[in-house]
Amino acid sequence: MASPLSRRPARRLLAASLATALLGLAACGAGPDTTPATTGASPVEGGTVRVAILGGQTDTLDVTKASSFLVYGVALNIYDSLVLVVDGKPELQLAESITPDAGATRWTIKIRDGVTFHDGSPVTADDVLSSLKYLGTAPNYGSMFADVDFDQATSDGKLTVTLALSKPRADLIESVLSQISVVFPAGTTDFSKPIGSGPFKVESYSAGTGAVLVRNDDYWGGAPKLERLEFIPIADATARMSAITGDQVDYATGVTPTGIETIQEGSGIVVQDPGAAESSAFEFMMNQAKAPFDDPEVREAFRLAIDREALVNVVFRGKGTVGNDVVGQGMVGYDDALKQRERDVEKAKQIFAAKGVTTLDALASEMTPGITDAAKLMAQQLKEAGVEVTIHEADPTTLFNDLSVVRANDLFSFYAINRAFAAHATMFLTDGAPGNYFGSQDEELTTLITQAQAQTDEAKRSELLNKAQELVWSNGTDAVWGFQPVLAAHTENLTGVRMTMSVPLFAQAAYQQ
Amino acid sequence: MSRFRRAARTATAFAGWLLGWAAWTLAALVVVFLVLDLLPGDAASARLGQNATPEALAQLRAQYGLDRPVLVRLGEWLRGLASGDLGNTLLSSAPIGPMVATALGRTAVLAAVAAIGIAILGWGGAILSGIRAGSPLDRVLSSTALAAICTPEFVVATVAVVVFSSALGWLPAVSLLPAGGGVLDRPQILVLPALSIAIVGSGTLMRLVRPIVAREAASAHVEAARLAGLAPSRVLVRHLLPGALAPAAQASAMLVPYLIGGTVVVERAFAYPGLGSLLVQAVANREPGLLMACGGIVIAVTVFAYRLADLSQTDRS
Repeated sequence: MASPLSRRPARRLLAASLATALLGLAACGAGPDTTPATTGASPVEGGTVRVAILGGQTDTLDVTKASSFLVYGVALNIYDSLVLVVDGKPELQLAESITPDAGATRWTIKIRDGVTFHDGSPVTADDVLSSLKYLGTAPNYGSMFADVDFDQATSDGKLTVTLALSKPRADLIESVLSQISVVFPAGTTDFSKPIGSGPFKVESYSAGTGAVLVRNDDYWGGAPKLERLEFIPIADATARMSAITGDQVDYATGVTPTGIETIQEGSGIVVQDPGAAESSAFEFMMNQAKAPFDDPEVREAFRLAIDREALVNVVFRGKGTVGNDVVGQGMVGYDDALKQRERDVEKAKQIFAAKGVTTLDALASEMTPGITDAAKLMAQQLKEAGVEVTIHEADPTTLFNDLSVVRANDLFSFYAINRAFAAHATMFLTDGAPGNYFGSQDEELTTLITQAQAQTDEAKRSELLNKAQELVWSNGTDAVWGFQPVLAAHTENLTGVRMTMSVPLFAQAAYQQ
Repeated sequence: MSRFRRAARTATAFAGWLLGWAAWTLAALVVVFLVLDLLPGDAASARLGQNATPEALAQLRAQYGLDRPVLVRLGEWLRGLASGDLGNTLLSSAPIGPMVATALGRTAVLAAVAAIGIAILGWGGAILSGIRAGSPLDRVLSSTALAAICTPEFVVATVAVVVFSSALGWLPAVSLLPAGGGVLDRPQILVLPALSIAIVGSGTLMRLVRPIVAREAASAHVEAARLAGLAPSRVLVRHLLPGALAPAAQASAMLVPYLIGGTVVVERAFAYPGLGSLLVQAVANREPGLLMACGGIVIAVTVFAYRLADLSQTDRS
């Protein structure tokens, strides 16, 4: 049901009680984290971390068939990825270099020498290519790898893979490979006890009771300090919170803002808040394909009319970052020079009045908790600007089966995983992009993105992408109002846990004494 | 000869009863299969979520075989059922049979413990109340039972966690199984879920059985036994309870469906990996085979319990 592309199940559970949120003040004992000051403390060798994570009884450890986060949590700790996004930036892991040719249609991936799988066999380019093929042809990743022509891809059998693309993609690393590029032995089809080359090895897995991982003493990046990890499936966010406060686990992923408000001072539990880099972007999409949002001035008026801070305070209970109409905040390639748009109800009111806009229709479908609340609060805010918003609710499970339901509206309360702008633009903004639900057209933006995809000079590419972001900010169809981080809670003497794609990485984690 | 004939008649009746049970269960399964098909959304739309495009949906539906007519799929499922093959999940292609069997085993343990709790609390309360109908004790117990019935299981579960786990620290708040282990390796995890089910369930049972005990307590033969000067315990065991037994057993059988429903809710709240949790997951992922297997067990047990209740009624009259 979910790839890292769609964090639906977790997000749904992540803020299960937000629906009743009234006035959110960011009042809370457990501040935006993270690890306590560890003066005088030193990391100790060994120890077990019990991890509460969204999981279920139907899971197998095959990432192409994952329906929950447990599978990714295990995968990203037992496999090496070619590259991973950590703290918003791509970080090479198994790959030593990933380089394009001048036209960005041919990429060369060189992997580290001397890396071995858990069974002792060497990791070769054949394993890399075979893994990428397996991932790239699976339904949940197929669209992401659509521009990779696997028939033309080659491996030298040692350390080098060459990928041929059907069109230039200078953004291959951030848009494709850093989304998923785990490597397992060529020809693996049985994932009941998978083998990787990562910092931990699978000792056992049983759906329902979870996975036990043990340290890989031969890890090329240095053996982890932690001896053992237990990934325990817990579907309910409240239960995950109870498990950590009751000392049944040491680390709980995907906890809710209301959940962390129950953490008591001195309980020894701290909150890990990764900020916008590991978050979901919440926005109102405007329908540019019909009046009144075909008029850029009316779009401007809408963006001035909404109160982003109030939305973040109420819908996220203050646990989030205010948005500025461009997705990708906190990620590589974000244009920090963009001025934060402030609310200006008077100006919005004038424009709406001058354009004769008095009513709007908005679609809200609870794909994740908070979508409907956001729409309702937005309707109140728009009333102050003299516009009456009617909210239409739709069933999220079937929403995308029939886009005419979406297109009948002027506004769409929506969320997407926060990705680097280049990746988000190709998925949601350009003409014909799969997530361009309203069929909005912007020739200038599409051209800029296409040019950026063909530009391998980093400085020039970043200039093109900044131009595109300015365009989206001033003239685009999205009112991005906030970023909701993926929150985790853990015992305070556990440090060094990093987060990627909403799951924790334990290679560098350790208990402090 | 006559003994043989009687045995044969009993066997025939039993076979007929079983056949009726199987027929009703099968009919219910077919209806459920058809109704599920009418619901919006399927495994393909659940898996693709916001990445759904018409082409991707069509491709995945074809891969899952969901593009075939519903009657064809029903027929295939029934054939599989007849040969004991429940198939695989669509998303993770894991075999459904063992998955459901493991979950059912865990649920059965929980339900059994809860049933004991329900029986003790429900019957005990009913007898204490019923033998002195209208007394202050009766009124207190009856209103307590009513309050218990009206409280949703998850509220009871939350209160139980706050009291026994957060405040007293006696029991785990979440029913986690040891990795790769079974329920009996960590029996303490059963206490709070079973208690939550028992509190609500026993309220219902108590309200059902109490009037039966009260009616029996007011009957002429019990009155006569009491007037004869027999000890109250003897009156209860020898004269009152035998008359109440059959209708009370019937009322207890009616509680089996509740026991299953309550387990579903409570399993989720305590993250207990049983049939209820699996059913919720099957719904979320729109897994037809898994849903039918989990639902089929619930239906089979429910129909069994109701027919058992009917049977005891027929015997009595």
